Formats: sequence, C-alpha cells, structure tokens
Amino acid sequence: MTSQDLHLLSAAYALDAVDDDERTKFAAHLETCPDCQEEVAGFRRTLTRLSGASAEVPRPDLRDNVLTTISQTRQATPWVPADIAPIGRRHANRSWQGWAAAAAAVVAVAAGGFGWQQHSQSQHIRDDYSRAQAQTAAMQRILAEPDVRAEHARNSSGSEMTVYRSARAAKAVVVPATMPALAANQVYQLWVVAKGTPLPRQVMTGRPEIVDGVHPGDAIAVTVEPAGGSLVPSGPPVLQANA
Amino acid sequence: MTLDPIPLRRPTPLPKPIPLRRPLHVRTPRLRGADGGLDELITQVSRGDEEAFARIYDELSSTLFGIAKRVIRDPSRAEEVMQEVMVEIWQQATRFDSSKGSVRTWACMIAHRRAVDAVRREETSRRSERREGSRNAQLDFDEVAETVVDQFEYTQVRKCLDTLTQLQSEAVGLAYYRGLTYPEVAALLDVNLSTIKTRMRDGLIRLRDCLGTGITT
Repeated sequence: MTSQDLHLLSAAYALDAVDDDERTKFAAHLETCPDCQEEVAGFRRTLTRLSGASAEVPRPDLRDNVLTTISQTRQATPWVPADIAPIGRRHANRSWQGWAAAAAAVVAVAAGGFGWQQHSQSQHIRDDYSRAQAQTAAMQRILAEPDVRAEHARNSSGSEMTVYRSARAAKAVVVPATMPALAANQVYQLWVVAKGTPLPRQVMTGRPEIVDGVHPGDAIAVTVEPAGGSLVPSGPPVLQANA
Repeated sequence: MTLDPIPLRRPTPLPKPIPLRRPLHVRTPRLRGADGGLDELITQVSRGDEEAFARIYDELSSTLFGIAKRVIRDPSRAEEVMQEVMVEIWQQATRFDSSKGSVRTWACMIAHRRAVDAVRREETSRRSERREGSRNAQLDFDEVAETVVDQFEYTQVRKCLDTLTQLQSEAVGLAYYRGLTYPEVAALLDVNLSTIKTRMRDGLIRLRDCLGTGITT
C-alpha cells in the first residue's frame, strides 16, 4: 500500500470501516503524518456532531447500574510522566510491561496454538484491549511464519527489546520490554538498517510494533528523536538487534 | 448474469412530525463553557471523583446510547454496550489526552468502536440483516427523527446530509450507522474499493465543511 493509498483511508479509519490490519497500518502512518492527524481529528469532530443529532435517552435505571459498577472498578494507571520517572534503571512503566505481556501471549499462540483467550483476560491487556485486538491478527501471522526467529537486545541503561523477524513475511515484531521514559518532546523511533543505511520506520508507541520491509541481513535499531520522528537518525542507536 | 436495475434516487420523505410523547424540554441545558464542563469533569474523574463521573454520565449517556443503538439496532444489546463504554470512560479517564480532541469526541469514538466491534463479533446471519433495508444514510438518519433529544441539532445535521451526493451519503451512512467495513460497503453498492474510499472521504469533507467542524476551537 502506497502512502497515497494510506492517506485515502483517513475517512474509512475515522468511520471504523477498516479491518484490524488496516487500522494498525493507518494508526502507524498517523504517528508520522501531521496532515492525516488533522484530517482524522476533523472527521471525528464531524461524526461527533452526527452522533449528537441522533442522541436518544437510555432507560433511567441504567444510570444506577453504571454508577454502582464504576464504584467497584479500578481506574487505569496513568501514563508515568517523563520528569518523575527514574532514568537509567529498569523502569516500571506499566504500559510497556503490559504490552510485553500482550506480545508474550501472542507468542504463546504461535508456539502452542492456545492460550490467547486466557492471557487476554489479564488486567494489563484489558486496559487497552482495542489496540491489542487491532495488532493481534497481524502479529499472529508474522509470529506464525515457519522461519520466525527471536533476537534480544539490551543496553547498559536498562533498555530491552525483543525482535521476532520473518524473512518470508519481510516483517518483524518488535516487543519493547523496558525502556526508560523520555522527556515530553522526545520519542523512540525504529529503523531498519539495510547495508549500513538507516531507513526510517515508525515512532514507537510503547506497544509491540510491526516493522515492515525487513530483509535478511538488516538490523533493527532504535534511536531517540524529537517528537514526530526523523528521516535520518539524530544520534547513534540506543538499541540494535542484528540479524 | 442479470444485474438488478440501479434504483433511482429515492424521494426524500417528508420530515416526520415531532412526537408528542417526548417533550422537547427533556434535554438538560448544557452549562456553557467548554462543552458542559466536560474537560474539567474528566480531570476530576481521573482522580477518582464519582460525583463528577455521574455528571459526565448525564451529559453523554444519550449521545452514546444513540450511537450504540444506530449501529447495533437491538436496544438491549445497545444498552449493554453503552454501559460498557461508560465504565471504559471511568477506567481510561486517567489517560485522556486533551491535546488529541475533546472529551465528547473521545467518548463518541470509543462508543462507535465498541458498537462496531459488537456487531462484527456477531454471526454472519446478523451481518446480512444489517445489510437489509435501506441503503441510504438519509433514510437511516430519518429513522431517528422520532426519538432524538435535540431537534435543533438534528435539523442542522439533516441539512448538511442533504448536501451529499447519493453515493457519498450511502458510503458514509453504511459505515457509520451500520458498522460495515469499506469493502463490505463497496460490495453492497457494487462500486470498486478505491471509489468507496474516495467517496467516504469527500463525503466527510463536505459534511465537515458544512458543519464547520474542520477548525479546532
């Protein structure tokens, strides 16, 4: 799919008229396309007006049901702001760990053919279940490739990730384990290093990522970039998984 | 193989009379300021304030129930989904990011996603049911005329929907009100995929420009 095709998908994406695979692809594209973000945001405001126009009063007794339920429901852990997070140590950011658990569950399916249902019930994953769903099918396909191989990368400051790559799919699944929090204006970005040349890939979201265009011999690298990502790396990789 | 004749554009039905059984004043007047104070309220909710959450419920439950019912149709299933969405708003309030849009838009997005997830999980038989009946978003939209809370807003949106071409309106309506994917919409309307994607997009652009929702306030 070319980026022009992807751009056309903005309306279908805002309308939830895409399948999980395309939702994942477009969401990754959104991270690096400010124009698309603006367009999708405008479409969502438009659809909000449409929804407001078809509002309908629900049965009054549902209010008590909901209020009782929430009084017994734990709220999600907030994202840990960068400035109070410990830097350079194993950082207990729940979202990263949660998503590592999600990926582990995906791997369990690939390895054993069962267990996903069970794992998907864990609290971490429920916290952001929709995004897990969106990524799961596509990841399962990569992880189920017969030639999938795992590489583990870590550095002295505590960053860790696992890369599952398949030459057949020409894709990799990158699972961040622990990554120190960054300042608010910085992001982690993925790169495919082909014959020494870093090719830009998406900004990391904290969740397992699918990296496209990964060929035998390519390395997968992570750099710290200004918000929005870069076309050429701003510095040396903080993590790199070699073939 | 014979193809069904292409239906002529359906005549636009006359607006339905405003029903007497639901008085217009049921709508609670919105507090002025940032959308009923929703942005303030969500901050309080993120700190575990249940009273603030009750006010969010009062402000949004009709809209979210409306979304779920349009897509799911079955009222009791729509009630379940609306309640699940409300609980999700409670849980996720801690992670709400106002830089990405308003609370109302965020809540509507969750509700539509959940409603669509709910119908897509159901059996194929139910899916074919969704394809039956009207293919026209305006007709879908007219169905709500009797129950809508906000007649003024309904009229405004209705006017803008009328500016779409038939194909634009079908493309947007089948996705939004039926929860179909764009390939399903394309198959149903017998149009190719890129045309459908394009009509959804230019249809939404036209609606956006008509409603003035393109600019952040």
